[in-house]
Amino acid sequence: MEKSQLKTILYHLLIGIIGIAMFYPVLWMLSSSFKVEGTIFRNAHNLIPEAFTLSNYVSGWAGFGGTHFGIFFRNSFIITLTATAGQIFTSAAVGYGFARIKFRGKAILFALVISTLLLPQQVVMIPQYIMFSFIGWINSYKPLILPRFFAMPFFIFLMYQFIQGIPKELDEAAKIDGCGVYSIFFKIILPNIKPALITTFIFQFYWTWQDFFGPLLYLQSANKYPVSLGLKLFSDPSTVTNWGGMFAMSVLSLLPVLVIFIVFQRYLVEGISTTGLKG
Amino acid sequence: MSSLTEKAKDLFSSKKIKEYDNLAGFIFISPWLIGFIAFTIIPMILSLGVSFTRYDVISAPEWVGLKNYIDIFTVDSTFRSSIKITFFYAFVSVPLRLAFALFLAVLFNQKRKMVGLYRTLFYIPSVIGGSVAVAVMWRQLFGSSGALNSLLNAFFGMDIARSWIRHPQSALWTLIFLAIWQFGSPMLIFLAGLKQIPGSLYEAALIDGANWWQKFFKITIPMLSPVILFNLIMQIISGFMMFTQAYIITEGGPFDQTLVYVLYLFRRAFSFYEMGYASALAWILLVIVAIITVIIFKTAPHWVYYESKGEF
Amino acid sequence: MKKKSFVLWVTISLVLMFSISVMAQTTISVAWWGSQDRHNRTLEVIEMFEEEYPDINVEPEFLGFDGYWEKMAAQAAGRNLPDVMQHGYGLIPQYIEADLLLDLAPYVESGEISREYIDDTIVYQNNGSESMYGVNLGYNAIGLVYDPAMLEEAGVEDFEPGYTYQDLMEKSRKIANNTDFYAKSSYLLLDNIDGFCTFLRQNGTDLYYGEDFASKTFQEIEEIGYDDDQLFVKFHEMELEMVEAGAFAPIDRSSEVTNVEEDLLASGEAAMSAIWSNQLVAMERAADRPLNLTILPKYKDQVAEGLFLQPSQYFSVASNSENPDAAVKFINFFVDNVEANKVLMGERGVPASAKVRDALIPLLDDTTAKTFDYIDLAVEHSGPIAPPYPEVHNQTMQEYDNLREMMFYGLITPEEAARQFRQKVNQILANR
Repeated sequence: MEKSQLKTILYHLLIGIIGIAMFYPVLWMLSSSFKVEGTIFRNAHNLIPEAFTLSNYVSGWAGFGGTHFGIFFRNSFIITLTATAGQIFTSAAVGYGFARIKFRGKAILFALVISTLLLPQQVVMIPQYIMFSFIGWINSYKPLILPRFFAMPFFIFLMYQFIQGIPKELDEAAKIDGCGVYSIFFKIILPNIKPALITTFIFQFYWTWQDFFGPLLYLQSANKYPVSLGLKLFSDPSTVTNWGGMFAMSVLSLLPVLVIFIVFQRYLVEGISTTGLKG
Repeated sequence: MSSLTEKAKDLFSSKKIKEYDNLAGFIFISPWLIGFIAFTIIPMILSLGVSFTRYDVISAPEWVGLKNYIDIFTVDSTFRSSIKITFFYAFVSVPLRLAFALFLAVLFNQKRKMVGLYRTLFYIPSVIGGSVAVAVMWRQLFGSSGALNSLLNAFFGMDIARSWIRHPQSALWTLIFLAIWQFGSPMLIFLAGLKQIPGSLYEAALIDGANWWQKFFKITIPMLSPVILFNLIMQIISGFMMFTQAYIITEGGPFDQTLVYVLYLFRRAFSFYEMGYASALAWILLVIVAIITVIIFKTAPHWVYYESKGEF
Repeated sequence: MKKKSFVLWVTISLVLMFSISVMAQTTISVAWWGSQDRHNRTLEVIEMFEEEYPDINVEPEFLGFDGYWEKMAAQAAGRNLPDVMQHGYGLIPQYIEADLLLDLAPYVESGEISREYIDDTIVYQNNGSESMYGVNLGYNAIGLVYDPAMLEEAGVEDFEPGYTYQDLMEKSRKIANNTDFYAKSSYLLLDNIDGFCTFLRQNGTDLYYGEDFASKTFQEIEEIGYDDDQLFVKFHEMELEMVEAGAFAPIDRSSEVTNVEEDLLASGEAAMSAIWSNQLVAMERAADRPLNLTILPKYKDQVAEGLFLQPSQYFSVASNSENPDAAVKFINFFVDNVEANKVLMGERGVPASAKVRDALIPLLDDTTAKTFDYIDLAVEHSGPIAPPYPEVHNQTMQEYDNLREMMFYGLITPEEAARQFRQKVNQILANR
C-alpha cells in the first residue's frame, strides 16, 4: 500500500470516529422528529423509531390558530436577509477605517468598539426596549434589522484582524497607480477579505436566524414572529407540550442555515494554493 | 531615498495614506459611530445609571448610591462562587474549544474528497444552538439513563446510574463539553484565516524540503496568529458571557454549582426583579473582562505576526 | 344626472358609515403563555368573541412559558402592558405593588363581571381593602398521581383519601422491595417549596403568615412565619429516609426532570408522583396508561388541612389600558360564556363557574373528567388559600431548593439546613 493511500485512510478514519461522537445527538433529534407522539421520552434511546410517522411535521407545521410555520419562515427570511446584507458591507467599511486609516481619536474609539462587547446584553435589554418603544418601533422589524446596518463590534473586529493580514505594499502599489483611500477599499481590500466576508455572511445569517430574545421583546403579533420564536410557542412545562411537533420544526428550522453553510463554505477552501494575495 | 524627498512627496501628494486623514477615517467608521450613538450608548449609560438604583423593572427606580456595589463585594457569597465558576469555565473551555477548532480546521483545509461534507456535518452541532431541543438532547446523553452510561455499561461493564448533568462534581463539565461540541464558529474563522494564507509560502517551503510540522509551526501558526488572537479574545469574552447553555440545561443547579456569572445576573434581573443589582453585576463583569482583554492585547505583539500593523 | 347623483350619494353615505364603524372599533390586546393546544383553543375563543362583539377587535399576543415574564417586565417598564394579561398567583403581588393592574372590584359590583359564578377566593385582600386584580381562569390543586396497576403489582393497597405520611412511606417501602421500580422521585411531595408549605399548613402555620392569614398583608411581613425549626427537620428527614432506603429515586435522577413528560412516573420508573391537577392530561398522555389522582397525605395529628385550591391562572387588566370596558367584556366572555368554554374545555383548570362546569361535564374526556372529579374531592379536604406571598418569594424558593439539594447530597444536616433557611429568609425579608 502506498504511503499516501494509508494517509487517506487514516484521515477518513480519524474524522469518522470524531464525527460519530459529534453527530449522535443530532441523529437523536432527527429520529425524535419521526417518532409517534408520546414515545419520544419513553423510548428515548432508540435511534430508529418503532413506527415512522410524518404526523409531527404536519401538526407542527400547522402552528397556532391558523398562523402556520410558512409564515414564520417567511418572516425569518425577511429579517435575516436584510440584517445580513446590512452587516456585511458596513462592518467591512468600519473594519477598514480602523485598520488602515489614521485619524484622531482612533484608539479610544476602537476601545469603545471592543468594550460594547463586554457588557452583558441582559441589562441593556430593558433600557433598549424603553428607547425603542419611545420612538414607536414596537411590533415592527425595525429594532431587529436597522441596528444591523450600523456594523456590529464582533464583525468590525473580525474585519480589522483580517485586513491587517493583507500586506500594506498592496495599498502602496495601488496608491502609486493613483488610487485613493476609497478606491483602495473597493479594489484592494474587499476582494482580499472574501473569506472574512463569507464568514460574516454565515455568522450573521445564523445569529439573526436563531435569535429569540429580540423578536420576543419587540414583536407582538404572531403573524410577524420568526421561526425562532415560533419554536418557543410549543412549550409550557406545566401543560401538554407537542414535543414531536417541536422537534420536527426544529429540524426544519436548521435547514436554511445548513443550506447557507453548504453553499458558502466551498469558498473557504477552493484553490488554496492558487489564490492568495496575488489572485 | 532620502527622508526629505519622502516628505516632499507626501506634501505634494493629494492622497496621503500614512498621514492623518480624519475625514476619510470618520466616513469609514461612521456606520458604527452613528449606530453606537443611536442605539448603544443611551442604553449603556442608562444601565450604568440603573446600577446605582434599586429598580424592579416594573416600578420606578430609586437611588441607592453605591449600595449595590458594596453589597456585591461584602455580603454576596453567590457573587463570589459564580465568579469562581465562570473563571473555571472560561479558562478550561476556551483553550480546549480553540484547540479542537484549530485541529479540525487544519484537517478540513485539505483538498480531499468529502471534505465539504465533513465540514458540514461537524458544523451542524453548532447551529443547533441553544434551543430547548439541545437541553433535552443533552439530558439524553448525560442523564442517569443516558447514552454515556449505556456506553460505559456496554463496553466496560460499569453499572453507573449517575446523572452527569445533575451531579455537583460533573455538571459543569457537561457544559464545558457542550462548548467544545459546538466549536463551529471558531473553526469557521480559522478556516477563513487559513484560506487567506498565500499558497506561495507553502510552495516555497516545499522547495526548501520542509515537513508538515515545520510548515505548521513556521508558516501556518504565525500567518494565522491575527486570527488566533481574534478567536482567543472573542472566545474569552463569550466564555465569560456564557448564559444560554447553563440556562436551558442546568438552570444553575445543583445548588448553584453551574451558576455562571451571567446566569446569576439574569436571575437577579428577571427572577428576583432586581435590575439595579443586576446592572451593577454587569458593570463589574465589564471591568473584569476588560482587564483580561487588555492583558491579552498587551501580549499580542510578542506572538502575533501582522503583515501590516494598524497604527493608532 | 339624477341617477348619477343618487349613486354618488349612496357611495358617500356608505363610505361614511363604513368609516364610522371602523372608527368605532376598539382594539384590545390579550397576552397569555401556553403550549400549542392552549394557543389554538384561546385563538378560537377570540374569534367567537369578535363575532359576538363586532365593535371590539382583539390582538392576541401569545408566547411559550419561556420568556413570557421577561417580555411582560419589558412592557411594564415601557408602560405598554397588554390590556388583558394572563397572570399567575406568584407574580401578581409585584404588579399590584407597582400599580400596574386595574382594580376590577367595581366591575364585579356593577355586574359586568358575573359575580354569581365567581368564587370568593378570587377577591383578594390588599391593604385591607376588598380589591380584585385578577379573574380566575380555572381551579387547580396539588394531588398525588399514581399508577394503580403498579401498586397492584407491588401488592400494595390503593390510596384512600385520609391516608397519612406514614402510610405513604410504608407503601413506598413495599413498592421498592417488591418490584424493580421506585415508589417516587426523591421528593416527599413536590420538587419545590410548595410541598413543604403544605406540611406547614397541616401543622397550623405558614411560611410567612404564621398562624393567622389575616394578621397582616404581604407587604407587612418581616420575618419567617413558623417558630419551630423541627417542622423543617421532620419533613425533610422523611424524604431523606426514603431516598436512603432506596424507596425514592436518587436526587440526581429526580432533579433531571424539568417537564411533566420526563417524570419518572411517565417513564415507568416510579409508581407515583405529585403534580398540579391540570398537569394530569400531560402526565397521562406521556405515561400512556391509566393513572389515578388523589389528595396529598395527611399529617397524623394535623391541625388544619394542607391542601388548597388555587386559581391556575388569572386574567388581569392593565392599569394603562385605554379600553378597560372592552377588556372586561372579553374576560367575562372568557369565563362565563358556555360555548366559549366548550372550546376551552378546562385546559387552564376547572372553571370556577358552576354553570360552565355543569355544561362541560357531559363532554369531558376520561382524563379531564378525572381532574374535575379531583377538584370535587379536594374541596372536601382543603383549607383556605394563603394570601399572596411577598414579592421576594422567588428568592426564598431559590434558597430552599439549594439547601434541600445539599441535604440530599449529604453536605448539610436537616438541622443545619433549617437554621440556615430561617436565617436566609429573614435576611431576604429584611432587605426588601
